[in-house]
Amino acid sequence: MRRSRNSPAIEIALNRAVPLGLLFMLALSSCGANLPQVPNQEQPSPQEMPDQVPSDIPQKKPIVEIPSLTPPSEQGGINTSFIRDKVTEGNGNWPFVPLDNPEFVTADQATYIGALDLVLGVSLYGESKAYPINMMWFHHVANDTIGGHPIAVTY
Amino acid sequence: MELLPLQLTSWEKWLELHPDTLVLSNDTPYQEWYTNISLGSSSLGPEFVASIVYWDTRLTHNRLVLGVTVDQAFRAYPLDRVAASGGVVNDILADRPVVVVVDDQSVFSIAFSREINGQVLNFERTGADSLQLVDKETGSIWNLEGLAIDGPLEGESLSFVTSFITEWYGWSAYHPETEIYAIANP
Repeated sequence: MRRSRNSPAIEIALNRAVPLGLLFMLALSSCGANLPQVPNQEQPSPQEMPDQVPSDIPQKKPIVEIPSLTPPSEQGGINTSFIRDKVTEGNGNWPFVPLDNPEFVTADQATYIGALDLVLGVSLYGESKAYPINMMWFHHVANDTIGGHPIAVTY
Repeated sequence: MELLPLQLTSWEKWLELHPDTLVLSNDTPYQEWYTNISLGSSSLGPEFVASIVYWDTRLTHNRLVLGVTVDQAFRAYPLDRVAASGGVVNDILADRPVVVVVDDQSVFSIAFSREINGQVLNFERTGADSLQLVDKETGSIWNLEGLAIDGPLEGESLSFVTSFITEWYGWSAYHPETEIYAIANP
């Protein structure tokens, strides 16, 4: 049912040589994605795991260098934005990379989405936008607008 | 912040509802991180699980539910149970009449208030079109986004009730006191 373009992209990420610098540890989405797991070296904690939870731990540790992101502009002063490094996974170890002022394409240009791929959809103020969850899984937050109104799209 | 309706659904379903939709461009510096996601089949990492402070075993952790909030009342509607109820559940939550709907593929689910202009409506599927509901009181036809598209109430909109598709572990961790919808007459 689902297209299997899962592996190639992430494999590239996993195998890429990483220079010293900004490292980002990929943690599992709080939204329940089926993704590579990261065993945390610093604070082992498997004792408290509930029984039902699968414990398959992958062989590779996903580490990539994250390009620097332009900080969200403070212009306007009244809009709240989720700011990079301030929004983190559950225990605070992994900063999210919010998507600020994202770019959009029309539906017929979106050849990278399959019919059954999941999206988050917003239709308000006369405008409709779709946010593929394979992207939102990574960013968790998009600081965007809909029909001219500022919104934070979260996953 | 004000909560707005955000619909988790398939691309084809969203496109069917909103042919003019824009789509987030995947041309970002993070493209290589964008990997396919499948809901309801998650395997959770031990580190992540350890960060969950409340674990509720009433349902399997990755069961897909529509989490519905009215005032401070929380109820989880397992999508498969809503589907087994004909795809429409006319319910009452926190003394408010609500309707929960799910489409045939269980990729679209949402809750609305059933009260409009002081009248409480009861809905059922039209049967022919999975995107449409009919209310028993007026016979008006409604789409899955709560808009009356035909009949006496044409043009009216049902009020969105805070609701979204989520996996059980996430919903129950945030709302330990949540109720779970059970099929009354299975």
